[in-house]
Amino acid sequence: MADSLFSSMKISSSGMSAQRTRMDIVAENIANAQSTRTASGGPYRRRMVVFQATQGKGSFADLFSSKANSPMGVKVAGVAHDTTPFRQVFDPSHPDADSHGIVKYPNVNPVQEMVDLTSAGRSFESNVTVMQASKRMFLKTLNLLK
Amino acid sequence: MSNFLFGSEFHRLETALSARERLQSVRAANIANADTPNYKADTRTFDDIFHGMLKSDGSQMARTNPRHMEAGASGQDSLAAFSKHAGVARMDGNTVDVQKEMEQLAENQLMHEYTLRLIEDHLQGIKSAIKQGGQ
Repeated sequence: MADSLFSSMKISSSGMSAQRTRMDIVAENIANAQSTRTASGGPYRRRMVVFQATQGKGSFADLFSSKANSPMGVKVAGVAHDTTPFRQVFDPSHPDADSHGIVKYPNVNPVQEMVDLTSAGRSFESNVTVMQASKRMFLKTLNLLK
Repeated sequence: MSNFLFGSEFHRLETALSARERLQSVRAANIANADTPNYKADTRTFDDIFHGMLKSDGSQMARTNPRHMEAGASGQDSLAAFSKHAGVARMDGNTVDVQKEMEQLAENQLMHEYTLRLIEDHLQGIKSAIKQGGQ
């Protein structure tokens, strides 16, 4: 019976860790907003997370009663590269400038990253709220035993 | 399942409690997937889950009068149908409305507590009967 409360806590924690990953990637993008060199050559390319809904893995009951509509958690399916063109700046004195004096900078837009960061923070918080609610419900149920 | 002390009413309360807990995980899933592209919000209501559970263990509520409302006819009443279609897809195809989910989460929490109170009352009644009304 309490299994669904545990599964809802698991779902919330999957949401929290997905949002944390998103924040990590945003931090990486902002930190590398000016990086003109990478190990693979060329400037840093903006990265972004891809979220995917997962069929309630974990608990045995979920698997056993695998009705198609059991509640789903979320996971990071992968990290994709943003294929938009690089920012081009005319700076002949830069060591990475090409023969025309153009330097390619990463396609990172700080404003977009900040919006993404705020959104990830808010989503993280709402998952925390749900987890606290589930925990409270569980504790209240335990009180029946008194 | 139902015996002398714990009759069908108690069983129904127990099922209601389980349904509340299940609904909690439905809400958790919607909120966890608020940023997942193409995720369609799970709009199941308490009625859907509760009557689904009652149906699966064969203890459906009886209609002793044809004028009684039919239990568990979810999606039939206009409000439920409205909430099913109200989810406007955003640009990324996601239909989760976080505000609505939060409101339903709060409601679910309160109703869960209410159900617990009813169960507690029921147990208290049995206890009192066993102790001959505290004499």
